[in-house]
Amino acid sequence: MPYLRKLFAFLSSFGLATSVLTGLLILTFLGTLEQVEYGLVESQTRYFESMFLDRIDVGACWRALAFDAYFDMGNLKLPLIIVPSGYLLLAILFVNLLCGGIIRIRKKPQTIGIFISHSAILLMIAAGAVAHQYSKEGILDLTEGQTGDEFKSFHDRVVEIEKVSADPKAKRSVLVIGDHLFRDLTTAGKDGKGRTFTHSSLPFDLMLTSYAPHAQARRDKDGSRTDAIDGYFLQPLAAQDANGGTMVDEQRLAGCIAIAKDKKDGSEQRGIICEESSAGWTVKSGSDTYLINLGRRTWALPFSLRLDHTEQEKHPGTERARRFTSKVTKLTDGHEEKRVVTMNEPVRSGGYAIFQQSFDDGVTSGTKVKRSGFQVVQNPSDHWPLISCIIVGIGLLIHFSMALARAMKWNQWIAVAVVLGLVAVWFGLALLKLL
Amino acid sequence: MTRLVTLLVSLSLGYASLQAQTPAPAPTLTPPPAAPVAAVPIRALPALDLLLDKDIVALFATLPVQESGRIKPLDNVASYRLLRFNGIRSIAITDTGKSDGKPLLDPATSQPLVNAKGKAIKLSPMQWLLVCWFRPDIARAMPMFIVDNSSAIAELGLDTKAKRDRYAFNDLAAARATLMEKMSNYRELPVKKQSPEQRIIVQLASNFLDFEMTAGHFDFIRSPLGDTPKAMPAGIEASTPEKPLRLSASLKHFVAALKTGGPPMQQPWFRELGKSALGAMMSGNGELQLRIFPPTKDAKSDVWGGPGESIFKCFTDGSEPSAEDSAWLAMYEDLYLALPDAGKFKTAATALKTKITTAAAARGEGQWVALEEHSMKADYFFYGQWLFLVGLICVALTWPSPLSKFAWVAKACAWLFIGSATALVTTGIVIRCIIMQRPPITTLYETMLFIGTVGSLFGLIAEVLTRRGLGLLIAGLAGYACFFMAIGFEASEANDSLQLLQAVLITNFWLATHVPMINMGYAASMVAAIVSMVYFVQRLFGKLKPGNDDARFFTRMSYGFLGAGLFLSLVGTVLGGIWANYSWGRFWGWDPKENGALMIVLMTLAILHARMGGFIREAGLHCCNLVLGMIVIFSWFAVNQLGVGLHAYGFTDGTWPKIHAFWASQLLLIGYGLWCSRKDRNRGKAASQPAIASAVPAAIAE
Repeated sequence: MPYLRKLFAFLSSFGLATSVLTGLLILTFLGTLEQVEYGLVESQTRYFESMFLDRIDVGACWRALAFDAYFDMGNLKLPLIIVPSGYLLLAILFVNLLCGGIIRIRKKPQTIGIFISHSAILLMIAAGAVAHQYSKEGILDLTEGQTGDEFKSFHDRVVEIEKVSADPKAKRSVLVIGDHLFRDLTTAGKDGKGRTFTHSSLPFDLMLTSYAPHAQARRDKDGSRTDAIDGYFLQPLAAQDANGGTMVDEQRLAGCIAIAKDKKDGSEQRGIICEESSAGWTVKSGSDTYLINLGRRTWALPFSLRLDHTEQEKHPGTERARRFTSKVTKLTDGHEEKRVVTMNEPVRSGGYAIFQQSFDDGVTSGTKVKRSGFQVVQNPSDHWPLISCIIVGIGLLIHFSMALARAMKWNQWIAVAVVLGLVAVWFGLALLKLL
Repeated sequence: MTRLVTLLVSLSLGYASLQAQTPAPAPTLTPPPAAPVAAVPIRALPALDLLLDKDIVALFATLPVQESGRIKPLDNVASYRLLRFNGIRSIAITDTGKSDGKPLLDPATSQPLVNAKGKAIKLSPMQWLLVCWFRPDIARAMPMFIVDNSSAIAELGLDTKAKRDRYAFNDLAAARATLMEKMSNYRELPVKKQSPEQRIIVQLASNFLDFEMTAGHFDFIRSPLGDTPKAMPAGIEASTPEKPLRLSASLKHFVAALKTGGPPMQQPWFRELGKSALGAMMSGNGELQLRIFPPTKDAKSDVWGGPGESIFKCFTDGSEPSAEDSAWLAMYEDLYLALPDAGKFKTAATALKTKITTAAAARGEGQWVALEEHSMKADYFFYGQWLFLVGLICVALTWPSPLSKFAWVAKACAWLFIGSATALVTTGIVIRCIIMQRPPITTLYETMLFIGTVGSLFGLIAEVLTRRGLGLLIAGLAGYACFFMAIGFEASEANDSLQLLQAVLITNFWLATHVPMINMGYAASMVAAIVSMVYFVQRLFGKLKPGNDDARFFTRMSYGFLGAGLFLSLVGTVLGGIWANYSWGRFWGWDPKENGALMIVLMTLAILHARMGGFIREAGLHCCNLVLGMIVIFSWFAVNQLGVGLHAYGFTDGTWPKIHAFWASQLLLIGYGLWCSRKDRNRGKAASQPAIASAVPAAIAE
């Protein structure tokens, strides 16, 4: 029991809270700086969404802060072992808050604000965890007149294996391998690192190797490439945009080498699968044909959406957009419902929120077809942050108004009443304005 | 039409390139090249006095125009143009552009251009624009292009002046072709990869072209086919003083000639006419062209017309000008043709303004033009900045003998100046909100105004509560520093600081809640850092002893602002997430600006928990506050320089060194603070009594 008591004391300590908060602060700082050279998604994954931090690119951070104007330290990377990353630190913070800020905290009138705030922060961290685990977020691109019922993830890539059926009306069944299982296989070209995936329904094992976050299949013109497959090879490309900046993840086209090894005779078929190619790679096994694709993860919507009309309003005499509006029809089991999506005003339905994300008037792109990009989000903890924010705000107001009152030798309860009264008036006015 | 304008602009640049291939005489600055003189002057040049006349200037200054999507006074256009060219909003007609220079000679009369007292004439932006329009010969000789590094001028093959100096259009005209060629090459490079000299050349070339068009604004009536028209389309007669060539009447003939004469660019007269029309536009950038004619017939159209557009529209559409366009154009021509007679000119200008304001009012537009002009004239932020400085000096005067009568008077003066400054800048911000009909912050520049104002308000509130002078010091420091920065930033950007919003930001509810709140969070955190800076400076000079009443007062005050900063930053940051979630479908995107705000929250939380855990005491708390200040500066300015994320407002030269300098100064203070902290701890151990621990304010030790 003394050990448990000590453990609880540690988990609820100010020391742990300070350390975790400082750790999160440093991670946020480094993760922000690394975005300059690694892009948002890679930094986000490394610093905020993983359990442990594998390395810090000190050189990249140095350059991001423009210190290279004084001294260029080159490419210095600091390898790390067992250094917690954002996800783990947030989990520890949750435990620390629960133990220290809820259970251990002295329950007295003076700490009521702190207690309320801590509870709300717990809710906020929980909202983040729920969103991270269960939310879906992607894009549904529609041209005028087009109907769609599935949306594509912005960042999650998957390898899909689908048995081709002769009957076009047959129910489709697809095996999916998430990119967290193969995106580390980038050095395969040098040391043969690959990973084999197997499934009872498949007549072959699938090995993935030579993953490149941004690549293109190119023709081996002179036949000199030893890694060429059917006259093509996978050429990794620099993920840089036209201005020399880091290319955003949405623009990157990943690729990898796939090797299908027959379970019976061990024969191998090799292919290049990449996002750039929409056709996919075909694998034959006996009389069966399988289609293997690398692309963004897609999710089905419980309804269809048709884009009827989309338009852009500009500030007068400029090319700056003032408003995007899309008139859509929601189709559910033959039932039609007209809705309007505008920037800042999404359409919400069936747990999904549909936002105007992008717009193409067809002139700039030269397609002559108007297009709207809708961001589709399903997040079970959608409203939790708002609730949490209101509670944490009230908690902090109570605490700090009491602290101020004590410092100024005022009556602290009157101070709290005045502050909360002001908040109530503010909310009332905001509500009136909204209504 | 955009395509035709682009074609003309590029042809203009190409023409410059062709010139570059022919051997050019060695460029020289003395004597300046003679200003082009119209072969057939249709009007005598107006006297400079007429353009400086108070009534005339006021008439034009409040003329409503549409630029960058909003209706504003013409004075605003003049003001930002001059600021962009000259670096400041005034210019003297001298050989240096400054009042202490040698007055220039009037190219028409060879008499020195001086005022009634015989001194150099200093022009306001509106006067400068009128000189550009109606006396371009003088404007071309005025050194108005500020060049921060003379290496850029040397690269053009011209003689240089001082490292940072001003050059006239006539100085640069000899190297026009080189300038255009280099601009074309350099602007292909990403801004971050351009050297400072290359950026200067790109900016200089852009300013040079804009000035060329500004000075040629009335060429469409002054000499629409150039100074020496070589070929005239059939049915068009050359302009004469008795019968000037008026496009309002003859555009249809030009259009007809274009239809029968083949491609426009092969018509010998079209290039000159096109150049005149470009001048009438005043800018090759569609957003910055002068739109001065409110639509009177089409109530649905929200785009105003302009002289340049009226002309180009006929060429691109191949149609005759509409009756409305012709009427506007004729009125605009009348303005020029009224010269040089002062009375006629005033009458024509008044008629034009009356028609424009009446047409705008009928459309429900232009109601804030007078208020904006008042705001520009009142220059609240400029005067506020100096009042803050005077207030600060008054605060400093209280230090030598805090209990004396003199100190009491100085403090009263500090209250007066800093209070007035806060009132002035608050008024300035409120006026901006009224003009734009939106909450106060939408750009980086506006954050400086807002944070400066809120910081000074926080300081004044603290002073009311504590009455120990520190609040006044905070108010003065925050106000002066922020408005000093804001004014410098505005000059470096030299773009209208009242910008229209992008579609995603047009939501007043969130702009009125999240944005001010997070900026107040910045302000409160920065104030906490300022308190700590003052704490260490006072300790350095032996004014504070650790743990004594004054030191504890500093700690209590910084703790108070930390608390306020935490509340405002935390709630503001989360509100931002909620805005993003409800408007764009994502609560948190790890965008650098979001991360910066989160870092402020995390640092504040870390400080408060470390303090409650007893890990930091008085000096340690103030050291941490300094780190918080560094984080605020990172979040406020540095993340925009990273060039990634949704809040990357663009790369500004010279921002990083300033941030580094601030960080270095804070690191020095932190180093001193750590030494203090160690000394305090040793002293505490030696005394074997919890004297320092007792310095924990009652507010913290719950």
